[in-house]
Amino acid sequence: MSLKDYELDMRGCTRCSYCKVIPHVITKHKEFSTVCPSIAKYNFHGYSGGGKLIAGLALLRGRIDYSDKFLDMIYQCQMCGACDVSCKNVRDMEPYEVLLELRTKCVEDGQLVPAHMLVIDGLKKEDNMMLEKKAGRGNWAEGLNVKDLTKDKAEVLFHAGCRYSFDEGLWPVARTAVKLLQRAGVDIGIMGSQETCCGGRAYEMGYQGELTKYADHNTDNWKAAGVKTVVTACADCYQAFKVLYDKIGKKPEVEILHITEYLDRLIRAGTMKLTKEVPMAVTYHDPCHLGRLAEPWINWNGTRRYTMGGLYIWEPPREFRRGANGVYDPPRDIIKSIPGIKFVEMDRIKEYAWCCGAGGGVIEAYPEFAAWAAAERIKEAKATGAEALVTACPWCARNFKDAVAETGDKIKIYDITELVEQAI
Amino acid sequence: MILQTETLDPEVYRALEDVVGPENITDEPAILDGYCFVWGNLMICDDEFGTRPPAVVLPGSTAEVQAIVKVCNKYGLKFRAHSTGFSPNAIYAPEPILPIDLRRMNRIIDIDEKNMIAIVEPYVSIGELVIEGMRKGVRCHVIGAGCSAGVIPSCTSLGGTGTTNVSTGYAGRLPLAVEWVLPNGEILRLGSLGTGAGWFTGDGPGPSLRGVMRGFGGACGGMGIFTKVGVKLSPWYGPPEIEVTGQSPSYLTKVPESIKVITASFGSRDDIFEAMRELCEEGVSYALSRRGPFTMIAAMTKSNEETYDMVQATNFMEENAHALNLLLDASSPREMKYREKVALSIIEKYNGTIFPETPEGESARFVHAWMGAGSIKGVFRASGASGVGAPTAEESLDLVKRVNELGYGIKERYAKEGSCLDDADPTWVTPFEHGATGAHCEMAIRSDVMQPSIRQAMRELITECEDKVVEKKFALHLYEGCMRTDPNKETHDTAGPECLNYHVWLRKLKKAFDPNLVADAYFYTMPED
Amino acid sequence: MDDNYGLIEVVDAKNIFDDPETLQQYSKDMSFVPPVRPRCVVKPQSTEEVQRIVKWANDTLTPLVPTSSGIPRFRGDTIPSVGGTVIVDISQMKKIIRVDRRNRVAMIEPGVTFGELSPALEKEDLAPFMPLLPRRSKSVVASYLEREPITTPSHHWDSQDPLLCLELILGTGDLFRTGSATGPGTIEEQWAVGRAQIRPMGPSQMDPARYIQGSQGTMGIVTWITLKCKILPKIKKAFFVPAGDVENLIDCTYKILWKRLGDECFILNAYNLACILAENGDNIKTLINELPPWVLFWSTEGTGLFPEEKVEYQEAELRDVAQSFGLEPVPSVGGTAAVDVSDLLLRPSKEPYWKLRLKGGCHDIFFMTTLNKTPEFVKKVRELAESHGYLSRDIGVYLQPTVQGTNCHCEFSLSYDPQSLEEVTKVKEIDTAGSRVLANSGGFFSRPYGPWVDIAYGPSAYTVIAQRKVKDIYDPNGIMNPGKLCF
Repeated sequence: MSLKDYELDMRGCTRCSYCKVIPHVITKHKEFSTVCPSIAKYNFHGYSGGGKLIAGLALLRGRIDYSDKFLDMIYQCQMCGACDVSCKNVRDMEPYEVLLELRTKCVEDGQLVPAHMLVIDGLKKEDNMMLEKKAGRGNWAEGLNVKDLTKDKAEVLFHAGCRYSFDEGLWPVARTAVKLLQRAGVDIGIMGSQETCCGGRAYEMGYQGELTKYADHNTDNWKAAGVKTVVTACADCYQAFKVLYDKIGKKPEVEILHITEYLDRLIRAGTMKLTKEVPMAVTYHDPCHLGRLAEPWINWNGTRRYTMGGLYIWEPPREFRRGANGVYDPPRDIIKSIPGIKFVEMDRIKEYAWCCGAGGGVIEAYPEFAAWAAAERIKEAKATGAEALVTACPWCARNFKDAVAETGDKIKIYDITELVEQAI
Repeated sequence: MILQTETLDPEVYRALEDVVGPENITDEPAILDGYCFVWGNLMICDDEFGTRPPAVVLPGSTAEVQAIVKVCNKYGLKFRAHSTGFSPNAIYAPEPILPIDLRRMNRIIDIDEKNMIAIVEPYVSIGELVIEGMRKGVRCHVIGAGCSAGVIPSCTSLGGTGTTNVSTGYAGRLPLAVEWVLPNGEILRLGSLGTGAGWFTGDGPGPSLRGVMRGFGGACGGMGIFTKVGVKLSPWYGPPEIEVTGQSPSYLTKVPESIKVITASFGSRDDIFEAMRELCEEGVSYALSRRGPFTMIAAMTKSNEETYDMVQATNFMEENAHALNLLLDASSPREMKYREKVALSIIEKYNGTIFPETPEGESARFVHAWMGAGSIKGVFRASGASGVGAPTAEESLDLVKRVNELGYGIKERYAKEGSCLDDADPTWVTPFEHGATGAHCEMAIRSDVMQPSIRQAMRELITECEDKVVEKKFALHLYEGCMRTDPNKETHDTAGPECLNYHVWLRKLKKAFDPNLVADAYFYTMPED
Repeated sequence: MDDNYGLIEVVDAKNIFDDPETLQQYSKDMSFVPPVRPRCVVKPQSTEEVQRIVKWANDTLTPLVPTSSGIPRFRGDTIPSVGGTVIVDISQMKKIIRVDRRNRVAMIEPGVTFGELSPALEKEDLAPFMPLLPRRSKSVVASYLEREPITTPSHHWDSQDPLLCLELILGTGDLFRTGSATGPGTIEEQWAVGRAQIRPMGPSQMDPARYIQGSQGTMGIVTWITLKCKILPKIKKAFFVPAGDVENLIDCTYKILWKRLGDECFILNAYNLACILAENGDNIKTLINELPPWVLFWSTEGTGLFPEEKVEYQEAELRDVAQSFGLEPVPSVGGTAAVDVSDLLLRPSKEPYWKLRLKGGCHDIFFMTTLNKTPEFVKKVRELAESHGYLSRDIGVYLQPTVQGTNCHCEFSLSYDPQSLEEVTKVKEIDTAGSRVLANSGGFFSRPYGPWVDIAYGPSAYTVIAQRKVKDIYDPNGIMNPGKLCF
């Protein structure tokens, strides 16, 4: 697809501003009604989903040319998809796809964000998004006594992802995830230093080619390793494997699960029992890539035509991904099954969760904006009275941890696996 | 060839930057194009984009707004402020003007539930005020444009018709005290605010300057900027929160005990109008309107395909050709019992039948009345970013009925030609103040205005509607001159001579309050000399 | 009569009065505004005549003061401020032009009084929205133009109510109409297509009725209005909710307003209620002692399909509300049934005017506030009165929620013997000093008469500038009631 393919979507924007907020019918407090970090921080309409649709049309029509400010407007956006699901509450449009195509066009036309160039360069050389050497990728698993799937076979592959592989502060989470599965008797292995990036973050930055490359590479490797299931604790990787690979026609033949889905299954089956009390009030942050963006891809090919003189319909009928079918229940069910936990929800949850701030290349190129978005989410978490903010994604966790370190907030940041470990 | 447009003189840019700070002003074309694009532009200028402004500013306070206006006066720079900007009247301009985006002024300063007054800044939306007000037992008016529209502009600057008019009144009658930055940069505080007594009235001392601020239509930015308004509220008898289930796009709201949704179908236009009139007399309604059956379907279905199926495969359109969307509210069960008895008796009296709504239907009617959340789906989803409302009129129900008949007759012709949606009678009729100050009607026409030939046909339809409405002495042109259709001529020049040359007086007001003519008046009026 | 007037060319001579007795009558009223003799009084009989007068006044730069109510007048707004003024008394324009039951609206000329209007409306099953017992000579048009509060807050949607559209001769001599009456078409053409002149706003993007209202005749002379009417009730019930202190009634009243319950709803102290009930001054003092210190007066009118059921459920609601505040609605107090008071409220005051019954003179101090602040104003006025040697028990208090409870008309009536210089002086002093204290405490003098002008306009210089801009448009020669308000 290209930007031109979405011209009707861009022309169809009414400038209603629904993309800036969560649907009004489910809003609980004005304070927590905005859903788009970009417009919330930068205020000019162009920073909203709708504003970028308008900019896309302007670019297409030759009304505007590239500039630093234009790139800022496009890239000071976490690609969190909130504008997309909010718009789709009332319209049948694809704002997210337009935003993606805008970025792809920027990259194709050589309009690159310097910080992204650095990271992509690193990706190309070292197969990771962390500007680290690939040789060290498996170090997080030292001493875990887990199968090396480059040499061995297992039913289940644990894919750590770039963030878990190289962020030492988060290694305990990845290690805990593996140990929990091992303890439950899962036949699990890892790729270690041979693991590569999923390609998802690069794709979101507009580098579509990287996704294709890693899709081929990963699916080939999984086939060669003979695994039946790939489980990951990283929401970004989960979304890439489950949704993006399908989108580009490379749907994996293996089952893709997030760690929360796997743990939930084990708990339901009685294989994993949570018996120890964890007396804590917690709230849960839905990672974008586990939530609204993780809704299974819908392959559709068709046309739009007008009928009755003024009603357009899709042929064949078209289903839109509105974010409701992401992974929402498993993490909540896990938390609720932990003895002693008091679970409170924030206002903006599930497909309307406020983004942690890290996605879309923002943490790489605009760290202050990423930190600001995280701080906003922490405010919301604190408003629930929770002592801890729990999430299920290393990018969210890292951004939240850095934000509380900056602000000196007392709220604790946990990954779900850490709570599960405390409960066993 | 990249579009080159007018830019601000660096001295002017610097003067504005000194007011708001560098992060709150820009002349980046990619951002500026977001300030000249809005639904409705195609009908006005055959392009989704109007004229690109030379810059845009984001003030954060009344002091900053005042300073900006003074800069504009100094340099002869035309400006127009907007809130959420969801209207051509907010965004479209035929020449470069400075948009003043009031997004940063978004506080609900106070909700005084005892005296039923909310003090708000310009970017507070209807949806936000509804949500916050419910917790305190109050609610605000709900404008036809829906929950994302700004509270202030909906009651000061454009029209004021919405889903709750029968019980809240026309939004134009709801501003109390107002803090107003005049086009010349002075600040006028209306009514009790001017003496420091509070926000409870905008009238006096002596004559009320609310009459200069707006009329039936607002000045659409042509009389300056309203930076704070005390808005009259109405009581909310429901719970502090509404229970919502389901998932997007079809949320199901649990209609609270204090509200009753009644959809009634009538056999004729006469019957439905008489039923409305009598319901008005009884004063029992929370929301009362005639809505076209297609709009009702669109609001309750999750896609256009579902809409199409329901239109084609069910009798909904025929059964609801004259459908009344009535909501009752009550502060107690006994009050509800009485109101329901009255409503059902009137419906029966005029041969109406209660239409058995599905849970989706009932929810859609409630949500539309409660916060206008069905507006976008009902109007824009069908044809994608286009909606034309003509003819319009606001007077007695008897007059409105005639306009309805006239409009529908004209529209049917165009629908048969394929120029617009063939959706029976889409006219929206809603009374104000239990009918005591009349009713509004507006025929929402959906068409594929992206096609030039269709656009032209729609222009002809609007012109025909307007001309006939005036010729038959039914009403003035669209929204009394606010909805300008001719770029070369103000509607007032045609309407004024029909109406005691009101336009002469309006222009004198403009000249008196905007001596430098910097408050953009494309949708208002300009003095002749 | 001086032939140099030229007025004789414009108005039928029999409608021009300049005898000393007439001039004396129009030179003063019951307010403390200093008397100024007019040059003459004209009593036009038609809109055309009014227009000719205004045009003549522009040509000759003659100040005009319009008036439409009969004596006694109270506010000082119809006393000339400058010499050479011609009073335009339109009280003889008494046509009830149209009564429209379908749209619950009537169109009347300025000379129509409430006593004349009510029977005409009753024939069509309608009734007017009444201020509290207006005097018999009070013009309906004048009452509504002055923004006098009505006793039924649930029907008072906006401060403009019950006024809808109006026709007037502007200070320029131009004829104009407001709201949907402006056009298109003549009034008769509008009626022919079902229009009823019931949309008050407009025309277009201005709302002249709003600045004509409250303008004390400084913008033009109104020649007819349309007004909202209510449906004549088939059954009515009324109650007093008595209390020892006004504080006790406030939250109960707020709840009633929030529920939009009932029709008449206002608070009176014993003094005012006694004045209303008593036929003469002798009874008043006795009655005061028999009445509770404060009452909330409330009524419900049964109209529509199920009038009895409406009244029944509303009564039950009132009881629940009152009881939740430890209060009890009662059908009578001091031997007087609420329903009898209710009947009184349908008509103008019987003679003598109820405010004058005690001592023959009465001065009102009134302003706008919010209901919750009224107890503190009551306390302040009492203290003020006592400090000036005026017995606070002789002050009438009337609290009228308006605009569906969004604000409140707060009125204090001070009786005095007009023959007693001492009493007159005392009341004058209380007014002058008191109005300033009340304004400083947050009272808004939205209807500034006499000395209130300074306190109303003082703090808001730009209001003065803005109002003068409007005045300059509609009365560029400054002939309309010069010297009033900020003009």
